[in-house]
Amino acid sequence: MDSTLAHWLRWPSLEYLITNYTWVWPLCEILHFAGLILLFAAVGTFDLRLLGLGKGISPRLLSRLIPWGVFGFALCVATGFVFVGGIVANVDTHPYVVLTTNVWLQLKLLFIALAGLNLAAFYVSGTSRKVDELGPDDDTPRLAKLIGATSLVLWLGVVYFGRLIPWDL
Amino acid sequence: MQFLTWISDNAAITWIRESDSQLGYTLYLAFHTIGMVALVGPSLIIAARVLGLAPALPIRPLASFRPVMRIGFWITMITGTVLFATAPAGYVKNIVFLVKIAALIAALFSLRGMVREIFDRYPDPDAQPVTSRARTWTIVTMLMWVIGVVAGRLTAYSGVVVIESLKAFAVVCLIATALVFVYTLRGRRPVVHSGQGFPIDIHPAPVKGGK
Repeated sequence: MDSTLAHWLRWPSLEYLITNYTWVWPLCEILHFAGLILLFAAVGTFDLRLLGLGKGISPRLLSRLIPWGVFGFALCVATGFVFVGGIVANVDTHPYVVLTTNVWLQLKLLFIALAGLNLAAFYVSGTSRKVDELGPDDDTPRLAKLIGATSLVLWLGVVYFGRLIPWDL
Repeated sequence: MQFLTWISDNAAITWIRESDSQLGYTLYLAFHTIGMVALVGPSLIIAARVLGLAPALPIRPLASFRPVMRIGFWITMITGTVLFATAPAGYVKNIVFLVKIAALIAALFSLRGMVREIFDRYPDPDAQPVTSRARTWTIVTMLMWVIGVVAGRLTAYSGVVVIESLKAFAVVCLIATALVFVYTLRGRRPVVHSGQGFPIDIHPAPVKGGK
C-alpha cells in the first residue's frame, strides 16, 4: 500500500517540467494565491453573510458566486498537486516522505477535509435550503451561523498551515 | 543604509528572524497572507458587482464588508512591516519588491477612491447606475492587486526566472480574459430552453436577405 502510494505521488513528468522550465514553479505559486483569493472572495463572503454581516444581500445571491470559489479551490488543488508531485525538482525529498512527515501539510489536508465535511453538513442538514429561502434582511438560523464560523476558521487554518509547509521540509 | 542595519539588528527583529518559535517569522508570514485575503477578497466581490459580473448584487449592503477589508489592511501592513524589517537591506535593492510596494500603494489609493465613489457619493448607490469613474477606480484597483500579488510571489526569484514567469503569466491572463469575456457575453444574451433538449437563443443573429 505504502509503495503504491509512494509510486503515485511522485510524478517524474512534473519534475521534468519544473527542472527545465523555470517559470512553472513561480507561475503555480501565483495561481495558488489567485485561487486562494477567489476562494476567500466567494466562500468567505458567503460565510460572513451567514454570520450576519452584509445584511441587505440575500444569501441566495451570494451563494451564486460560490462556483468562483470552487474554481479557486480547483486552481489551488491543481497547483498544490504540482508542488507535491514535483517537489523532488526543488527539494531532495520524496513526496511520500513529505506527506507522511510534514505536520503542516497533514494539518492543511485535515482542515480541507473538515471544511468539506462542514460543507456537506450545510447541504445534508437542510440548512442550505433554509438559507436559500431567506430574504435580504433576514437573520440566518443558528446552525447556519455555526457552519459559517466553522468554515471561516477552517479555511483560515488551511491558509495558515499552508504557509508553514516549506519550513518543515 | 545604517538605519536599515539598525532596524534588522534590533533585538526583537533578530529574534523574529532567527527563532524557531511558532511566534517567530512564520507567524508573520502566515498572517501576511491571511491579511491579504481579507483585504483583497471582499474588494473582488465589490469589483464583480461594479464591473457587471454579479449584476444582481445590491451595492449598498456590500459596504458592510469594509471593516473586514480594513482589518485585512492592518494585518497585512503590520506583518509586512515586520517581514521587511527582518531583511531591509536586501529588500530595498530588490526591484521586484519595489514594484510590489509601488503597486500596493497604488492599489490602496485606488481602492479608497473606488469605495468612496461606489458607497459615499450618492445616498442610495443602488438608485444610480454605476459611474464610469467607479468602473475606472475598480479596474485600476484590480490591476494593481494583480501586479502586487504577482510581484509578491516573484520577489524571491532572480531576474531571468522573473521574466520567464511574467511571460507565462501573461499567456494565462490572456486565456482568463478571453474566458471572462465569453462568460460576460453569455450573460448578456439570454438563452431559454425549449424543453426539447436544446437551447434557443432569443436574440438570434439577423438572417441575410431577411425582412
